[in-house]
Amino acid sequence: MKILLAEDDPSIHAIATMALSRVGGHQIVAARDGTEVLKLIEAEKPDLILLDVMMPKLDGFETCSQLKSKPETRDIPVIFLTAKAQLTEIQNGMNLGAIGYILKPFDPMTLHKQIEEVIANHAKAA
Amino acid sequence: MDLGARDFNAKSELIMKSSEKEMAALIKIYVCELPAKAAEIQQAAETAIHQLGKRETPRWAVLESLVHKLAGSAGTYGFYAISTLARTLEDRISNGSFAKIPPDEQALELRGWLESFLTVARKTATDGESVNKEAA
Repeated sequence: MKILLAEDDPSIHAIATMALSRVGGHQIVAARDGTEVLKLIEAEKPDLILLDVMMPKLDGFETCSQLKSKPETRDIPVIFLTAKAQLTEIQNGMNLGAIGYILKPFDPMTLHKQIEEVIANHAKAA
Repeated sequence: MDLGARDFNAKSELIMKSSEKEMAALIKIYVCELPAKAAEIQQAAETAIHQLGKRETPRWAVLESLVHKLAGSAGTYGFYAISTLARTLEDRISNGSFAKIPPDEQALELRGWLESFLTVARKTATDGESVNKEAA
């Protein structure tokens, strides 16, 4: 699976990339903020977008909102990967059309499984 | 167990072993970077304390953003004490409860938090260094 990972913290970016590529066997495309996601999306055509919430330039919620407003990107599944753990923030993300929410801190060795679970739960609910 | 499953399991074990090595290397880098992250947070907290002393409204956004990032990254790298401390301050700032107490109490609480945070950060960096030396 090709995953577009939007994350501005290099420490998190490095460990998530290692976890998803080496342990999960996925291809990772890097973006540092929401504007890079919107720039890369057409050329990269990812199967999934992992979005941090607090990012410079364009935050994760606004990025998700823009992705879901365009016919060519609205069907690409979005999962938030964030330390924003308050219920209202989670609900906000889900209302914007994300299929799931994975909280930081996360376990790098099982991150790919958490993603698989989110995708499976979403498919069951659909 | 058939041959295919055995091959799969062997391959999986190999991937896990090499991933654990990469993980250990990333943790070493994180520990090396920790003093710089702590210094940045210390500076933001001291700026806020200084502003509180002058009865100015501190710009909490910088400190909130720094502790937010640390809460997520430290826990992911296995440094749960730092993550918990960072999350505590982030929550106090973001839910508005911190802003509701008088400036003197805010400064006192922030000083106490900073002391605890720097103690844990220094210990983590020192312990991490000694673990790195043993591993090398």
